[in-house]
Parts: sequence; C-alpha cells; structure tokens
Amino acid sequence: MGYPHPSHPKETVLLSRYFGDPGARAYAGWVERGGYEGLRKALAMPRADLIEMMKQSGLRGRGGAGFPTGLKWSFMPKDDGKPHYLVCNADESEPGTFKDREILRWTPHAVIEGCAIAAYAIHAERIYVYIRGEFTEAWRVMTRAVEEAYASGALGANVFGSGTRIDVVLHRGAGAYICGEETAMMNSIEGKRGNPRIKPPFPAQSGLFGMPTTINNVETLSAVPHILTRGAAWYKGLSLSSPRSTGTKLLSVCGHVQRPGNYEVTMGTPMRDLIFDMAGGMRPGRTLKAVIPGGSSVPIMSAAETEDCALDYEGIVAKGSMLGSGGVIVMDDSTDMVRTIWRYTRFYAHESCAQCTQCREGTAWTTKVLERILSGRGKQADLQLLLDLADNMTGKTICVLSDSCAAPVVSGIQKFREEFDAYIAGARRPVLAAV
Amino acid sequence: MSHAPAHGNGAVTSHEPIFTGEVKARLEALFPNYPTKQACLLPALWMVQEARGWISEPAMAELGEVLGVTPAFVKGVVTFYTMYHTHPVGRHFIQVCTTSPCGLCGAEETLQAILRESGCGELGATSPDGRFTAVEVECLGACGFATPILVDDDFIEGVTPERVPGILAAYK
Amino acid sequence: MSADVTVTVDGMPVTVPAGTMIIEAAKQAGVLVPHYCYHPSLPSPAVCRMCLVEVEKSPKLVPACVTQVAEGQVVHVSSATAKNARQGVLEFLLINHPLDCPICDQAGECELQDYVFQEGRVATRYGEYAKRFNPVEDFGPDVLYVPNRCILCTRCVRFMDDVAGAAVLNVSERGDRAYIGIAEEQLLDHPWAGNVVDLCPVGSLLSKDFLHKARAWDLDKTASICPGCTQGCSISIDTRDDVVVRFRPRPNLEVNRHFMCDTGRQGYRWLNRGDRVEAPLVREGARLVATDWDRALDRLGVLLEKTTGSVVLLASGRLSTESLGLARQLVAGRDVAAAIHVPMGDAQPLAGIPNLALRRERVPNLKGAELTGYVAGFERAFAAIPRAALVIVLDADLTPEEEARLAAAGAEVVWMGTVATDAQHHAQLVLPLTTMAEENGTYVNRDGRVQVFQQAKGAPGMARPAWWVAGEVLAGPGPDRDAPGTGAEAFAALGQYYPAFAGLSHADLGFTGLVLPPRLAEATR
Repeated sequence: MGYPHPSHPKETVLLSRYFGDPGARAYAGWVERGGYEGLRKALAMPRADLIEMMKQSGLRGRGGAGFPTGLKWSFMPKDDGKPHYLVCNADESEPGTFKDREILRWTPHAVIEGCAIAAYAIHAERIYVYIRGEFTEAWRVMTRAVEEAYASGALGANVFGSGTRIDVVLHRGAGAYICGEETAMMNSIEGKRGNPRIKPPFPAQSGLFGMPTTINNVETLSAVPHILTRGAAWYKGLSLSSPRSTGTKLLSVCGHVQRPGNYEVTMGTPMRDLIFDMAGGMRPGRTLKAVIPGGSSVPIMSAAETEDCALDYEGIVAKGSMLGSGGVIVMDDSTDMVRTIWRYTRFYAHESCAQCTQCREGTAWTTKVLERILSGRGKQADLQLLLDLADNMTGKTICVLSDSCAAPVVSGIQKFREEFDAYIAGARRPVLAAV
Repeated sequence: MSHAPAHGNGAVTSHEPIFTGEVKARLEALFPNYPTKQACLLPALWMVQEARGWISEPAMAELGEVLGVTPAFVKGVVTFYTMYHTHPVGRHFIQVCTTSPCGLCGAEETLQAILRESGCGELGATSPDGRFTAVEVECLGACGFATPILVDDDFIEGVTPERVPGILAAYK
Repeated sequence: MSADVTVTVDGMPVTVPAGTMIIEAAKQAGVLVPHYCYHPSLPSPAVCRMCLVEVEKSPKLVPACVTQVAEGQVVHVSSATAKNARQGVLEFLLINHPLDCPICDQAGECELQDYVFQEGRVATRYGEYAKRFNPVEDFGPDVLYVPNRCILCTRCVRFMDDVAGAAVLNVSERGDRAYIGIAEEQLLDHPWAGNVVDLCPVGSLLSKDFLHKARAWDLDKTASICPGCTQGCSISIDTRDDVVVRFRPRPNLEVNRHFMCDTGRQGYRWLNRGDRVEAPLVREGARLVATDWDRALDRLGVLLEKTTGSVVLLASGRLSTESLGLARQLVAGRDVAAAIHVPMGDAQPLAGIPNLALRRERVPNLKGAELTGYVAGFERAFAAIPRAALVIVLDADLTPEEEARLAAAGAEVVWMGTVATDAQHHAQLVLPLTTMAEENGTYVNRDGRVQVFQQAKGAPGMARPAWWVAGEVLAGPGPDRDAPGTGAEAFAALGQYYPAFAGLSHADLGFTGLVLPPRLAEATR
C-alpha cells in the first residue's frame, strides 16, 4: 500500500498489506492474518523441493542486485557438516530507499517467518538480522517480535515440533552504508571494520566466520512465505512485462511528488502509473525533469526516458538504468541537477571504506570538482575530468561503491550537460561558498 | 616537519571499568550468540556508549581486554562506524539527514532551524548549555518522510522548520 | 601433487604450479606487475588496485595478486587498458601525496616515484585543491609515521597483525580521511617492528635512526649476513663513503624471508668504530713498534715455533669461518683450548614465520666455530691460561677482569684484533684485523647453513682478515707457497682440514647459502 497513503487501485498489495496496522506486529495478530502457515508448510517439505520452488517462482534479490534467490540458496553445500548461516540484510541505506524499514516495523513476523524458511532451506540453524544502527524503531519492534516467536515455538530448538532448530540473533549496525554490501556485512558481524571482501571465495563457500552463508534482503525474505502459501506458479504469474521479473516490488517513491511513500506493484507496471497515478504526480505548476529509479547508485533517467518504461529489472535496463533497490527519486523542474549530484558524490565519499585507491580518493576528488563548479570556479575541462575519473572508478574495485558514485555523475553530465555548462559559464549563480 | 607528541607519553587517566556487574552480565549473555568473542564488539561498543555517552581510549582498552582483541583493533573499529562518539557530546544527540532525496525536500532548511533552535550554531558543536549536539548524517532510510532526524534513540519523521521548536522542547 | 598450469604473460609462455597467483607467474616470465599492497610474505588484500591486469575473455580487469592462473590464460600487463588503469591509480595516489621528494628519505628507492616516472601522468590535474594534512606521528621507538605520504597499502598493519602477531597498528577512520593509527598508550616496540619501514613502499614509515642520514643513490649496497645472532639473516649492508649507515634485510626464503629483527638491524655501529688497530705492532723491549706485515708475520712464525706447550685461543664469534678455521690450524696438533665468547640474550621469535627468531646466542658464527674446533664460552679456556705458553686473542672482546687475568699470566700473548685496547700493550705482537664488513667470508648459522657475506667497505690502515694472516704463516717460506689470496680461496682451503667443508666453494653457496649435511654438521673436536 502507498503507506502512509491509502492503497491505490493500481497497486498489488502483498507485502505491504499491513503497513499502518499495529495489530500485525504481535505474534497472535500475525497468525490471525495468516502468518506462519508458510513456515509450517516449509518444514514439512524436503529442502531440495523448497529450493526448487524458489527457483520456479522467479523471486530475485530485492536489495539491489536482483540475483535469483532460489539459485543463491542452491549454492549452499548440502551435507558438509559445517555450521551454515543466514544473514538478513536490514541495513537499508541506499539513498531514496525506505521500504525495508516499513516491513520491519509493521510486519516483523513476516521477516522472521521468511528468515526461518530460508534458514531451513539452506541448513542454517542461526540467522543474524543485521539492522542498521539508525533504525531504532525497527530494533525495538523486532526485539519484541523475536521474543514472541521464541515463546510461541516459531523459533528455538524445536520449531513447531519439527525437530529443526532455528535461532535468530539481532545485530545492530553503527553507521556505515557499506555494511549493506554482503561481504562487508559479514565482516561487521564478525566484529571488524566493514570492509568488503574479495570474491572468490564466495559466501556460500566461505562466508560468516568462514562458514557457508547466504545473505538475503528483508523484502526478498518477506516474500518467501507468500510463495509457500500460494505457490511458485502464482508468484511467477505476477508479471506484466518481462517473464524474468516476477512477483511484486515495493517502490519507495520520494522527492518531488504529491504523495511520497511505498507503493507495491506487480513487476512490469508502467513507471508513469507509479509516479503520476499512485504517487499523485507533480506538485502544482511543476513538470517532471528526472527520475532515479533504483536508489542513487543507478544512472539518472531523463523525463523522456521514463515514458513507456516498465518497472522491472529488464524494463529499466532497456531504458539505460537499473531497478536496483527500487528507491524512486522524482525530480521536477525546480531541481538543481548539479547540486543534487554533488550531494550524492559527497555521500559516497563519506561512506567509502578506504580500501581501494580509486574509491577512497576518487569519490572525494569528484566531490571537490563538483564543489568548484557549484562555487563558480569550474572550467569546461572539469567535465572531461569528471568523466575520466568516473571511468577510472568503474569496474576496478573490490565492491561497486566507486561505480555507484560514478553513475550519477556520468548520467548527469550526459543528460543535463546544460546545467553544468551554466555554472561553468557563470550564467548561474554559485550555490556554494568558495573554499 | 611538525611532530605530534610521541605515543606512550600521555598522562595516565583514571578509567572506571564499565564491564562490571550488570553490564558485564549483559555482555556475557551475548557470548553464546557468536562463535567468537570478537563478534560481540559492535554490541559491546553500544553498551559502552550507553553507559558513558561516548567511547574513550581507556574504554577501548578495557573492552579489548574483555574480548581478547588489542586496543588498536578496537580503535580501528570505533573510528570506522560513525555512530560511535569518540569524544563527549551534549546530553541529547541530534542527527539530521541531508542526503539528496531529503535535500530535494527541504532538509537544508530543517537543518538550519535545528542548529538555531538547539543553540548549537554549527555542525558538530555542542550547545552552550550542554543540551544538544547536532550533526548532519547520510541517508536515514526514511526518504518519503522528509526530513527525518534522530534525537538520541528517537526516530522522528517529517520534520519541518515549523515543527523543530516543539520537538526540541521535549528534550531536557 | 598439483598439476602445472601454462599461461602467457605479455606474450611470454610460463608454466607454474596450479594455485599460483598471476603476479608470481608473471615474475617467473620476467614481467613485473606493478603493485603496492601485495607482498610475498604477507596475506593479500588486493586493495591498492595497482596490479590490475587484462586477461583475455575476462569482462573486467583482474587483480593479479589474488587471481590464480588458469590453463591457457592470456594475460596482458602492458596493454593500453592495463596501463590506463595503473595510470589512474597513480593519479589517485598522487592527489593527496605531498611533493616531499626533496626532503623524503625514500627518494631514490620509492615505488611511487618509480611507477609514476615509468607510467604516470606528466602533470597533475589536482593543482587547485588542498591536500589532506595530518602531522607526523612518532610511533616510537624507531618508527616515524608521516600520514601525508601514506598510500594506505596496509602492509604495515598486516605485518604487525599476521607476521609479528601483535596487532598494534590499525586503519583508523574511513574514506579519504583514513590513516594508520596506533592505540593511545601503545608503542611500536615489538622486536621486529622495524620491518614496517622496509615494507612501506613510500616514505611514510621512516626509521628515526636513518632519518636524513643519506640519500639512497649515494649508498652502496652489499649482500651480507647479519652478525647479530645465530639465525644468520640475509642482509644488505648500506654504506656511504665507506661508513655503514644501515642494515636492511635481504630476501632469503630459506632463512628470514624478507625480515630482520630490530636488534640485528641496529647492530651496525660497531663496524664504524674509529679506534682501530691500524698497523702491525711488534714488541721491541719495552715498546710496541709499528712495522710492516712481513716483519710481523715473521715474528708470529717465530713465536709459534718458540712457544712449545699449551695454547689458549680466545676468539670472537663474529669471525668468519675462514678466519676461525685457518687460525685454528696455526696451533694444530698442540694442546689447545680454543673458545669463542657467546653473549646471550632473550629469544624473540617472529610468530608468523617458521624457524625465524632473534636467537639467544648473539654471535653469527657459533656453528662455524664449533665445526672448526672451538667451544662456546671462555671459562675452561681462561682456566687453562695460567699454565699456557701462548695465548692468541682473535678479536675477542674481553672484560676488564679477563684482561687482568691475561695480563697476570706468564704466557706470551699474540693479539689479533680490530679495536685498539690498552690491554694490547702487554702483548708480544698486535696484528690489525678486518671486521666482517671489510672482507669476504662465510658464517654458518644454527641450522648448519653456510652463507657468504661480501665486503662492504674498505679496511682501515693495514688491517687484514685473520685467515690471511694464518694462511701466510701456514704456507711457510719459499717460492711455491700456496697462501689463499681471497676469501673464496680461504674457504676452499678449509676443506682439507674440516670434512664438513670438503669440496665446497663460495660459488656453491649462491645468495641463500647451503645447508651442510646433518652428519657433517655435528661439531668436530
């Protein structure tokens, strides 16, 4: 639902059905609403069937990478005798994205149930839910929900009498966007700096504490119980455009719209429907200028590019960007694109872990060049410099934070060149003080 | 070259141990949750900050002792994560999101209002009465509810300049 | 037994064991892949991104230090793509790097200078921006950290964590604010900490001892062996104008890999002493008179012949095997108490490297001495002095009490030494010797490894190696005399007296030495 707004008819309300419904938080309330049926069903199934069901459903990672979930689960070893771990990635920090926070604070048991099913599927007896330090409400809600789940037998040494052990440990982050990267998250849980790891080895071979590990996003896991209760075929059928994008997606619409909020749509829903119908379109007197469809790490789309754009993985790639986390940032004609992009690069510079040279130095340098442009001292050569830096920062590092910093810069210069030119030519008044 | 003072020459400051009694019990209750003690480092650092308001170097050394890691290791971790304070702050700590999605929706104005109303005046400064320290932070994950802020552990959504005085008044 | 893999690097085919990283395979093919954070004795984090190479059929550049070879891989290190990537890394490293070359100790042996000169951009594009600034930190006792020059390769942190086993350094902060930190009350005083200065590719970690002492290009570097203990680490003796300015470790995968301890590292000053014996001195009545070697050697021959009866030989454990071995032969067949003094200290292992430690026995050639007929410790030798006819001091460092006991004895004293001391005034003959830095020779380490050290500086005055003195006397008079003229010849001559060395030559020892067969490495008496 378009929480905090009422559901829109064009939404497909599945994961967001109980947003705003305080009764859904309690264990009893969740069971009343059909909760934990999926887990009971899963525990009675062979694990291989469960994994196959996920593959059939077409569910893909909702955190940003879009990796097929069933395939990811299948990478876990079957009979190696080592402890396996499931990590639930609740570190939501991608600018523009605010969906996992809603799932966590309104439907914590959906997350617990999804985690439990996944853990069972991959032979994991312990789940770490990594909640970013700033999500204080989600922490309180999840803490209580986990206690209730244990008390009700949905977690513990013998879940629902099945003989399976499933434990949940909540782990609080402390202010680092990069910990949302799966290997950095594992380092963070291990009590280290949140540095991403080189791959190989991959988490399914050597992950948390060196053991086979699967990391899944909150939204991905909260979809799992629905696939159990209503079937893979049903979930796969929720697809309006590309058959490789199935189910529903929560889009976090923010920025210059009348009704910012989370809207849940069937994969393939037209982007224009999301922005202009569900989110209420532009503010009075304003026109659409640009949209970032998947959190700040994906290329900026021009208004023209949003026409005939299907909201799914393939549809947005066809328009030159990515679905990513589904953080839809809408910008109208009042937007200063250069300044907006600068604030993104400043974000990346702040969040760089400092391992790779290109990211550590490049994010900061890019930010400084943009600051010079915004303070009225930019030169035309600065634009080619920014593109060169972006090229040096792409495809060359341990993780993609550096590429993510480059994306808004490159797409911004490509599509909004005139705004950069205006600052450089002195046609636009500087908005930053010279340093 | 200018030289900073050599290490190991600082005056010995007295540090009241944190991990005793109830706090120690709470930390030890976490040990079974992880295969290593080191993995308790982030939760333990939260406990230190809860107890003392910030994390001093002697506290880092004490924690290192308890968990079997070196003080340098603890310090490397503390300085990586921006929510840990390495110096004292005001009684109430305000974090204001100013990343672009909120920036598009008036975060700058909200931030200025907070700096004014709180008495902090500038980012990172503590108000003269010791009540508030205000900083700007990166995306708080509430972009549709601009501008979100944290005051201590209270996550407050939709903060506009008009709402600021009322919100801050609740914090003594 | 893992199968071998063949790959091509810049057109050169090379075959290596499976599991080898591309960077090492490239080395074998004679291609250097530029790198900073990688080091063969440290775990690889692949963070500097300098070693990115192009691999055909791979969508992205791969880090050569952590990517294993695969059969048939075609690797390009010098392609335009790889060079551009490196140029990008270098540019990023330089933006905050100060133009300190004129005052930086690393200049001339700096890997940032080297690669920038080779492949970097000609001019900066960062001219108008401020560089990050942090003040110099004294990590103590010998290490200074200059954060402004740091490229965050983290070699120092990994060395302390994983090799020294003392995690006293860290990376603090995040992003371009990051720097190498140390906890407040801590010092970098681990017995092997000095290696971080060598590991640092740039002039960020500096030795206080070496600070501003000499320019790298003014130095002569000589392959040698550390004279500090029985470990026998391979070192380089760096000299400027015939003065030893520092010791540095030299790679030897069999002994010390890439490291040496701080005690050994700081143990070079004695090689620069000025209070040396510079000329042979023969006794003329009450006086010692400077003379030439011919007369001095003649006098030595006479003394050896004249003094029938027991002999005491007091030697320094820093003498080469050649010197110890041939000098011992001067009194072969007689009643001899031959001993070396072995000062002791605490052992300090380097936790992450097997069989590497600062050893308790603080002499380099204990094994060599034992193999050539000396015992460790002066007690028995000194007990034998009162009844001895002749005492030969072979550069032994005597305590005042020992000097007094020697002076009080009735024996004739021949004093061969490096340093001039008053106790020599009682001797019949004083001969000037070279130190180990002033001759070619060998040491035998505690594992029976014979290693060569080369001459690093000129000898003062008329000083000669002890093996030369002995060799001249042993050769006797006559036109066909066969005295060794070089350290190599002296070593070859050892074989006729000591079976352990039979058939060996300096050339056999290479740069990493040769382990004597265990049976022969037992001490012979």
